[in-house]
Amino acid sequence: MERKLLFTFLFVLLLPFYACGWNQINISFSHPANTPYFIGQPECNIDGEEFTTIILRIKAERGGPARLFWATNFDPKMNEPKSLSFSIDSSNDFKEYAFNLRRQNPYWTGFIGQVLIFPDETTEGLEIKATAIHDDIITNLKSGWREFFVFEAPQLRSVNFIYGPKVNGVSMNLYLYYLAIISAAFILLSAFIKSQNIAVALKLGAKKTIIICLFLWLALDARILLDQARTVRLDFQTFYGKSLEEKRAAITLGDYYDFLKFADAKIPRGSGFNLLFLPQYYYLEKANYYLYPTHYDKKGDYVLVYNADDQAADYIKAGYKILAVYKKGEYILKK
Amino acid sequence: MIDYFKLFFAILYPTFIGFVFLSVFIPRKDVLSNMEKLALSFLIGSGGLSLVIFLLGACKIKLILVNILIGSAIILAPPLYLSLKNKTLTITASSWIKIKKFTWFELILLALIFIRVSFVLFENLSKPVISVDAFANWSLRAKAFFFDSGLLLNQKGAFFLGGGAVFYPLNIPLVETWIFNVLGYWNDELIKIIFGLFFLALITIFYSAIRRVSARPVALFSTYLLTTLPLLVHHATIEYADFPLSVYFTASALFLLNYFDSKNNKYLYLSAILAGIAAWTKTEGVPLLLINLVVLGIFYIRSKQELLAAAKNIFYYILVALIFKLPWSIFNWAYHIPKSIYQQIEYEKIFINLDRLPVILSYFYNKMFFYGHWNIAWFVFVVVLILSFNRLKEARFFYPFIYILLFLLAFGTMYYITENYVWLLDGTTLNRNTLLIMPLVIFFIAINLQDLLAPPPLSGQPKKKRKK
Repeated sequence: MERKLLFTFLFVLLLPFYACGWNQINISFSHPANTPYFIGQPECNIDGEEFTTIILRIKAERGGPARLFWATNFDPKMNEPKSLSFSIDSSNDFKEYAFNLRRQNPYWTGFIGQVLIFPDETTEGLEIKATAIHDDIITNLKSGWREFFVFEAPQLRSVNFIYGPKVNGVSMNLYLYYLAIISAAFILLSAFIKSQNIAVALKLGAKKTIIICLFLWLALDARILLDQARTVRLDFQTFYGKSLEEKRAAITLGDYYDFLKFADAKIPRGSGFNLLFLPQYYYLEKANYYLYPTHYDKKGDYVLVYNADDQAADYIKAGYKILAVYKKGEYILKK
Repeated sequence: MIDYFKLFFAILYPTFIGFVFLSVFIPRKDVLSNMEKLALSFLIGSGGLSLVIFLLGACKIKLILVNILIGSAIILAPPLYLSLKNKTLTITASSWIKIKKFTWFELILLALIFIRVSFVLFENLSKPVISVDAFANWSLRAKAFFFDSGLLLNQKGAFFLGGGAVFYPLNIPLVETWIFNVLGYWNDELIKIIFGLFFLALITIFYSAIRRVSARPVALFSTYLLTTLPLLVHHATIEYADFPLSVYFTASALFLLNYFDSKNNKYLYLSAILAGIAAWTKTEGVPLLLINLVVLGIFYIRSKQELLAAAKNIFYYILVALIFKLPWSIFNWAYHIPKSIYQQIEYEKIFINLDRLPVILSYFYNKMFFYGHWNIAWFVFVVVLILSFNRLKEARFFYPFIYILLFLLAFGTMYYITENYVWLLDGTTLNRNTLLIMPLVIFFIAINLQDLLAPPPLSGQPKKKRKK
């Protein structure tokens, strides 16, 4: 009997220890030389179903946007779908960032083999530590709060989709609907209790219900205004003081616009060109748009090569000569 | 600096054209506010000017500034003569000065609307053309027309009709070509001013329409609500044709509703002009024109209009709208421009496609309610619909509701019986389609707001006079 009591006592005693962090995995980050990212060390094998939440602790001399990537046993490559955008705040001490990844991204699943953090601006002055934990109400609240304020910057896909603010992976709209419905039910009930007449209760409740809905609408709009202010700031930083040419370069991937300008100077105006590129961007459409009346023609006398040496080799074998080189991997061939 | 003067002229000229035509249609003073007249003038004038440019191009006349000015002057001469003769070409200064003092609430709303307008203008004018369909289609064609001073009518050429999707109507590219011609060079940053102006036109016409039936604070508040729709605001900052189409359709619908209210035929023709330009802006404008016609038909049935008079009005409505659409249709026929496969209706699949139905419904439901495109507008629409259900038979609530219903039915059917279904599944078009009806959804909410927020007294209480 005493033994049973002792075991029970020990079990109860162990529970808080369990909650206090026995069930967590520490991940340290290193910054490989000449790379723009931090990678988790050592390579781990975290069960995504169990360890749903990552707590990042980041000390940063400069804040800015960043992205957390991960690799899983189902998809061992780091890629956009398995990532999460967030914003790093400037701080002298380690600041905590909680993310319930299981709720925020459906690809946090299976075994997580590696995590990577890619700060958009600089890796200098950054120190990162992380812990994978089971979620609890506190971390969920922290994670939801942070997710709510994540900046959804305008992207090419924004023309079709705006996800809008989310909390723990669920659209904020849903929370507002619940809030409005519960409030309306409460208002109607209290009006009914007062008047004992459904028609009167509906009439009295309608006004309050609509006011609540409009208030929630405006509250969500305040959050949207925040993103629009951030968009203005971002565009101001990107475009202010730049010439039209520099702006076009800024909205085109890598140095592609500069390469096109180079090609524009080298190819006779109005002639046709073929274009060799990796199919990861709107290279062809941009070339036609910026170079017109010089235009894409698969059988054209000129071939613009943009980081596609493998494809260019066939043309060189077929007798094409290099007309001009912009830089390594970016050049023009002529028949 | 000189560029800004040129840009000012590039906007002023089509606005003047529109104003002259509008003066012929709406000759009486003070029927529409000056702001509304200006907004309509820009919409009609830019659509009219692009049509003139198109006709010049189709006749193989060089699209240079002088030719465009001469061509538009010839079209402009008769209405200008008429409006000068009848002294209808006026803007009444008194309505600019006679503005009732604003309350704090109204000033806050004005400030919020001003912030949104500033955002749209800043986003447009701070960067050049950025969106995919713009640099692959709309703005590419504008550039090609400008560089070649023509419509590139060689069907075998790589850039026939400017390249891109040749079946897209040319209203927006030709307005851009006009601005390049005035500027004298290709500047894909300054041309974006037109999208800011479309936004201004939308909120002006929308405000005026609400103001006709509600008090000023309600009209201002509703206009602010319109500016809170994230996807609408985003589209006002990019170079696609969906937003201008939405503006033209909204304006045409609002003037049709105004016609129902006033029975003044001038609003009917105004609606027809705007619906015609909508069909000249994007292919989706054609089903929108049909929706207008169905609503008009329902109106005549409900109001028990004499059959001949109703048929005559419907005929004139189609005729006026076709002025803008027919040249492009004839051109398509003459040049054998193939329809997009997505426009081809597959009637034989009506029964085969039954499995699409739940998918279409679920996509509509999800995208309208649980994304960030429309704030919580659709939810509030449902709430307002429930709370105002008894009033729905009144004409001023009935027709906006019918518009929304017909729109959802029409576009749901489109996904059901055309290959546009693939664009529904990958999320490309549904939200952009919904953008077309959103101003009318807000309009429906807005016209109900006054009654919901200041409900008529319960029985037994004295009735207050309703504010006009």
